[in-house]
Amino acid sequence: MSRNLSEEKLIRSYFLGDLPESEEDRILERSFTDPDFYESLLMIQGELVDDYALGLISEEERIKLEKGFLVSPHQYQKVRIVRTLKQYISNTKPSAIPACSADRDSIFSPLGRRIRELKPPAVKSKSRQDSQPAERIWERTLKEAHANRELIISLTDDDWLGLRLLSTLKSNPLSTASYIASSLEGDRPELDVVLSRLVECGLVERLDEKYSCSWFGSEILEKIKAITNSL
Amino acid sequence: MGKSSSPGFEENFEALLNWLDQDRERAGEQYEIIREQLINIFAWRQAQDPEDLADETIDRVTQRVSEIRQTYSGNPRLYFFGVAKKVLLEAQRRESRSWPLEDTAAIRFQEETDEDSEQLYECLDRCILKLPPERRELLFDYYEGSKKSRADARRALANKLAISPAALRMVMYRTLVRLEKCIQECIKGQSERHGES
Repeated sequence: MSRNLSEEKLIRSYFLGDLPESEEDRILERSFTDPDFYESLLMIQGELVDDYALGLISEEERIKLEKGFLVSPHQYQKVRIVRTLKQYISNTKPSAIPACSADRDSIFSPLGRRIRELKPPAVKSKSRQDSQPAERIWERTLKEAHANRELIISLTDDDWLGLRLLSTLKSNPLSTASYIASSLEGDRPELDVVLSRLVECGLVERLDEKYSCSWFGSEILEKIKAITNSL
Repeated sequence: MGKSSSPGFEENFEALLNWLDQDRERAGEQYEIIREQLINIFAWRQAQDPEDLADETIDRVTQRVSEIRQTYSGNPRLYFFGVAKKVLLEAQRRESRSWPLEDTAAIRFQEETDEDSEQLYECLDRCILKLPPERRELLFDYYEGSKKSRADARRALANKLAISPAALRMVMYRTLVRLEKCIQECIKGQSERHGES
């Protein structure tokens, strides 16, 4: 997904309608055969929509977009969504939104509740905690709850991609991110986010760009297996 | 799929999937990617209804797939692209007759009613709740902040997630697409309910 400046400029020019028709055809044709190039098109399209919606482009570019790329109601809807989203974010604090909506409650909920009982490494060292003053107990409880929440999310987000990834790493230690992406047939950027979260939670260990399931990760997998067998 | 009831459609559609990939699951994925690409190129070429045109393109290829398999040996995606160019040309001819030139995006935005905006806001509110919490927070972090601080904030966000800024943009793009699909379904559902009452 690497993008060089000249390619980025070319794509921007395409969306601004600055290219001759023959060049536009070449861009569209390439978008069908080169997945990286297609992703670059999507990203730059997204950036232009963002910039237009939030008033971050020049007057000249605004006019070009309105007379070209944004004429399609399909494209203009993206602008409306970004504007409404910005307004929504200004009106809402993330903490005001419940952590789990009803739609996320599924057959996996009992499993989630059981996993919550497991302690991630961050909250395991009891000897230090015991010497803390009593007034710090609530802080510890909050940290523990936060760590547990992060742990569950790292496994369940993106249709349980984290759990599938952990299981793949358990069978294939010292795998590269590319290998994991190919064996799970997942999107690389999304996979990187999930991997990074698993590392932060201590479920996965990273060594020289290679990933393995940690001891804690193995313990979690074993417990999930035991729980699912008993359900 | 617009003409799914046409004679022999199911058989042809099976043949189409088989042409895209011998493995049924991978063929399904290929089909979805091609449809998404078609919708995008029609939208980028300012078509009024990109989804309809994408389905029309797929229908045309589906109807002729047995013949295409015998005579065409290149990348199936390029074949779709060739048909899409024809479909687009025909649509542009039709649309140039019915489409007022002064119908620019800015005018359309001014014509939006309060009811449209309220409906969008309401659907956005519902759809945001359907996103995984982690993704929701990411969305908030990504779009928060002023113009000046935004670039720095996004760089910091990418660092925090240990991914490149480009990868972060891709994740955000996918999140917005997900949100957009949910909003479209929500608006459609509301309109249908209003139509019934």
